[in-house]
Amino acid sequence: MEIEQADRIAYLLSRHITDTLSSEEHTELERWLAFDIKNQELWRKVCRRGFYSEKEMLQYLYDDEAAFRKVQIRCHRRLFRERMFRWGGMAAVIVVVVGVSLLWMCLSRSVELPGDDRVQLTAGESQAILILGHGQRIELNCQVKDSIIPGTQVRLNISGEVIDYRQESAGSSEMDFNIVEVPRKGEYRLILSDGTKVWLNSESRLKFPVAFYGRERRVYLEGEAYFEVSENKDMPFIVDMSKAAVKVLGTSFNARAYPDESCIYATLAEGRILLDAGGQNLVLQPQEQGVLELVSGKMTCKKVDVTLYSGWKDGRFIFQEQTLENMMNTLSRWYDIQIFFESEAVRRMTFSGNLKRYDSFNKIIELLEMTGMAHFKINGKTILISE
Amino acid sequence: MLVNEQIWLQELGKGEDNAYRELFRLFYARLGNLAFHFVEERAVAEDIVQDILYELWTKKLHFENFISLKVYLYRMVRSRCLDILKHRKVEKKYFQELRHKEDSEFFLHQFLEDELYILLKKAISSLPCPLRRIFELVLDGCDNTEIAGMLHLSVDAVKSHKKRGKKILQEKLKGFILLYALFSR
Repeated sequence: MEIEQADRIAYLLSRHITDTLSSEEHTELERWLAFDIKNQELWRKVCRRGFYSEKEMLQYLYDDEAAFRKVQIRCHRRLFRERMFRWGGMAAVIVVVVGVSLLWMCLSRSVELPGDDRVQLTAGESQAILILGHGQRIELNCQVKDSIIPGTQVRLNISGEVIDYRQESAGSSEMDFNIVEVPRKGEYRLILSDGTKVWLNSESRLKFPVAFYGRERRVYLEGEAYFEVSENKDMPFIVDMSKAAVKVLGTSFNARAYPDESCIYATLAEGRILLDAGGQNLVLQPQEQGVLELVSGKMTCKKVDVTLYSGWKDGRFIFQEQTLENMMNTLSRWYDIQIFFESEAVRRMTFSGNLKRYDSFNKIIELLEMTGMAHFKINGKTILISE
Repeated sequence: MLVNEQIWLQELGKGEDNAYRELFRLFYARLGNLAFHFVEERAVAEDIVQDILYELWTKKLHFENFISLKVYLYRMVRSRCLDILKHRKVEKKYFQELRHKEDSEFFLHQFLEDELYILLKKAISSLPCPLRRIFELVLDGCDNTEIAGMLHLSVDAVKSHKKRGKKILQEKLKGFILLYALFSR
């Protein structure tokens, strides 16, 4: 069988499945089936229940938008020589910032099931609170601000979803700390004064100095953030998560330390990091994840697909064989909802998928219910999941 | 979506942005899926497809018609994947796996499944809204009683909706025969 013939058979099968075969087509299909037993196997496979919805789910695993952008960048690089520099002579990967800000859209489409009276559970959006050194609180959605922070040489630029700390000139002053707090249903981005990029996830809090001085660059994290640390061999970057810390020279990684979770996670995309917890430490290589179990104090390391843990910063939730319980832990923060499970069995159901973070939760429920494995009942912001 | 295939193919040959974006929309997911069946790692599969689409742009390849574009893309994916598989460790079990995947039936069956899905999806999305849901359930293997129950309709209503839908599909899918006839010989 050649491609052209396969194409023809696909067409005939689609006719058969929608019950719109003409009699000549019917004969042609019968002939194909009789020709080879492997054809009959294929026939059984495509005609069985669930073939279509399985294929539908697979489509969601491939993000053609993101891929197009990625390839387009390569294409443009071929056309032009682009050189982007941040102060300090660091070649920054600005394309990441551009790509991400294009995704910053809050989508909430309503589900069109007949007789559906469900409430819309919209996705989160860019929102945070900035707490300045002297305690002043600034709410950060739709804020635009551009000014020099008093007492420093740092210019603070806020526009929409990013706070950019720009060191105007190498001056010295005492260490002034700022805090960015992201609530449930929120997310935000920062560019620290050394050029390090931080993506903050829902229910997270980052405390950091306005300008970095001394032997190290130390920031304090509660919750989850993705870092792209700018290189500085003389001043290692440290993410302090109270019970553990990640020490970095220049690299990209995800750190997760939620107070209501039993473990601290550090997942490395590029570079090298050291995960440090009191007496123990662990050097991680790219594509590895270090886990510190808080109760036992045990530290382990394993190879992972980093996109499963950092997908959120690119606007996606990526799950692979994840229990419904773990998935809902992540989703409940972003959608600001409460989840209840009817039974242990429901908690332990596993799913895999790649979902758009900015879709409403109702859309995600639609996808999960399509598998026929779980049923969702919504009551305001409370969800009950049963079999 | 594709207003006029010929125009689109021409624009694609010139490397025009919108045409190129459409190429991704049409093919990225299914090529990625196909590559995945060979290499069994999503990241590797996506890299392969991106490379192929990138080269298509840089070489400014021209295609006479849709079928020849499709054939080119699928063949490229297959050969790149097989190259990668050959470079992997040559242990006994990998060797057997490679043999199975080199077999053209393996590739063609994947292609067929993906094409079928695309055709069904196109057909379904051409239906007006209430009919669409019914046919999605039909594809899922639900019978009339189950569909009636899920959508709060009477079984008779489901039957008449299906009849209407089939008429529409008959018309819509006719277009495919013409396309195919033009390109096949």
